[in-house]
Amino acid sequence: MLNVQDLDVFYGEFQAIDNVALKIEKGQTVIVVGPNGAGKSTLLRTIAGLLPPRRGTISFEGQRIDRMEAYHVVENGISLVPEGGRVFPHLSVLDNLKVGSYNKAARAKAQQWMKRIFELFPVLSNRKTQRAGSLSGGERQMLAIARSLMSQPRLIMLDEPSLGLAPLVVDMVFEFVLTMKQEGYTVLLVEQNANKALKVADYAYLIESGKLVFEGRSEDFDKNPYIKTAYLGI
Amino acid sequence: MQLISKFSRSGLMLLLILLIMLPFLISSSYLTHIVTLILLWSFVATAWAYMARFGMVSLGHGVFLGIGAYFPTLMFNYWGVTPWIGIFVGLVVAIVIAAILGYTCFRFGLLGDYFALVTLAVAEVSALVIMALREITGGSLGYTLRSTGRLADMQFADKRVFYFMALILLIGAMYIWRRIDKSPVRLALTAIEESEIAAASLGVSVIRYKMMITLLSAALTALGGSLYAQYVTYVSPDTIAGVGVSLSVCFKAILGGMFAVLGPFVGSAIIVSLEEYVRISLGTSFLGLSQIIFGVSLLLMIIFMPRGIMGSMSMAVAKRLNRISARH
Repeated sequence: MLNVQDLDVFYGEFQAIDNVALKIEKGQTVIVVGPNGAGKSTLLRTIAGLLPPRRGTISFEGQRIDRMEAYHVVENGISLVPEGGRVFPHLSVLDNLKVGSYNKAARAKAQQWMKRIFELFPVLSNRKTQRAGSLSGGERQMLAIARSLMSQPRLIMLDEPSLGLAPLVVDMVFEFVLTMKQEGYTVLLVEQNANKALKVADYAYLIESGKLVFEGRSEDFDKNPYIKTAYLGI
Repeated sequence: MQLISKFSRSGLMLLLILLIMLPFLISSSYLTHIVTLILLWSFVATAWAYMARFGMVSLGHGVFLGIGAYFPTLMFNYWGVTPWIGIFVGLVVAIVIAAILGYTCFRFGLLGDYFALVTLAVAEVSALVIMALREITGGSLGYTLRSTGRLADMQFADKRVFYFMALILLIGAMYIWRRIDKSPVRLALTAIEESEIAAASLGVSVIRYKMMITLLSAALTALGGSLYAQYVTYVSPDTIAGVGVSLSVCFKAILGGMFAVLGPFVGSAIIVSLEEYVRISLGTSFLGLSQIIFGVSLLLMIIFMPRGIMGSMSMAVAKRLNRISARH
């Protein structure tokens, strides 16, 4: 479904992504783990069209998307939940969701879709008219995910959804990732919390300073002695 | 909330009727002149607030005023081109300049203070260009429009024509403001203001929306500059281009409240009247006093009433109504 090849991304002279390749099949939940500053967010932003790659190709459902503008990528069925959620604090919950269905394809079906979203997120339906800035951290993350789903994506990318949340809320977020998987979404998840993320993943990649250092299924990660000590704390 | 909107709607209608009848009620052409200036500056300040209320504070709208003012004036004096066409040319030039400027800023993600600083520099450049082209533009001494008194040259025996032109433009600008409020454009621009990354990753075309509102704002501002020049028949870099006038437009909108449709009008009415009052009552004995008053009052406003007069008023009314409805 998504195919990333030979990807190089630079911030000025600094190379943030170095020759990364990544593949996601339809319906899979794939995670990218790695330490702070490894280039995980950069990778997602590049796929989302927010950053231009210097080299390499990204194709989605057989179509090249690596030179597309961000809004165009969304129209093609990929949606990103940015790091920290970034809900629009001065807009109501409802308006936040409306912005999510801004692209042409989604706008037509926005009404029914909204109903569906409120079934998935009953917390939000009680807070429709409330400003997003007044929600709790967990609710905000939920709203950010719901807002991305409003664009009716086939691939949803989550950038560190557990960042800054209380442990109990983190569990909730991961439970929701599982729900999305059951709903048939393809999910690309970036996490520092490797332990929890590996439990929901079909396939995983490890990135260190922009380079791909390991890939495999969750079991392979569990068996690797280096990853065990460095990332899983076992 | 419904009560407020009903209230403000009837208030708006009353104001409109008053403004339409005013030139016939008062015989003093001086007063009509002042109100014409108020309407003109309200129009420009409203156009400025189109951008500012979505976080794009431009300190360089003098560029568009200057283009709008100078192009038709110079084209008329040198080539005899009627301002009816000259205004259109000025409009197109302003849109082109705004497009180049806007695209450059937005492409490289210049936000907030940085955007403001770039626009400020551009305003300074516009005044310098006018001075550098002294031979053509008259430099800092300004330039006077050739008088013919012909309708075809946009010159009218009855100055009240300008009053109504300014009034129509202002109403048009307010109408567009309301239309933006009701359209998805408002939502998109608010989202962009709050987080460009989130907006972009949800499929909002950030640059397209920012360009749209910028071009609209610049075009209307240029139109205001054109009408101003045709009305006062004199242009100079101090009165209609450059940093000074750019800032004075911001002051008017900020004082009245740049988030309320009536804000720029209220601000312009206060500042233009006060300027006239100070000028007449003190004459030349205390030059610069009005600027000092504005400087201090702007400082106080930004600290204590950041949403301006209209913004603070509507918030107070809403609070009051909430309390009343809570009691019942």
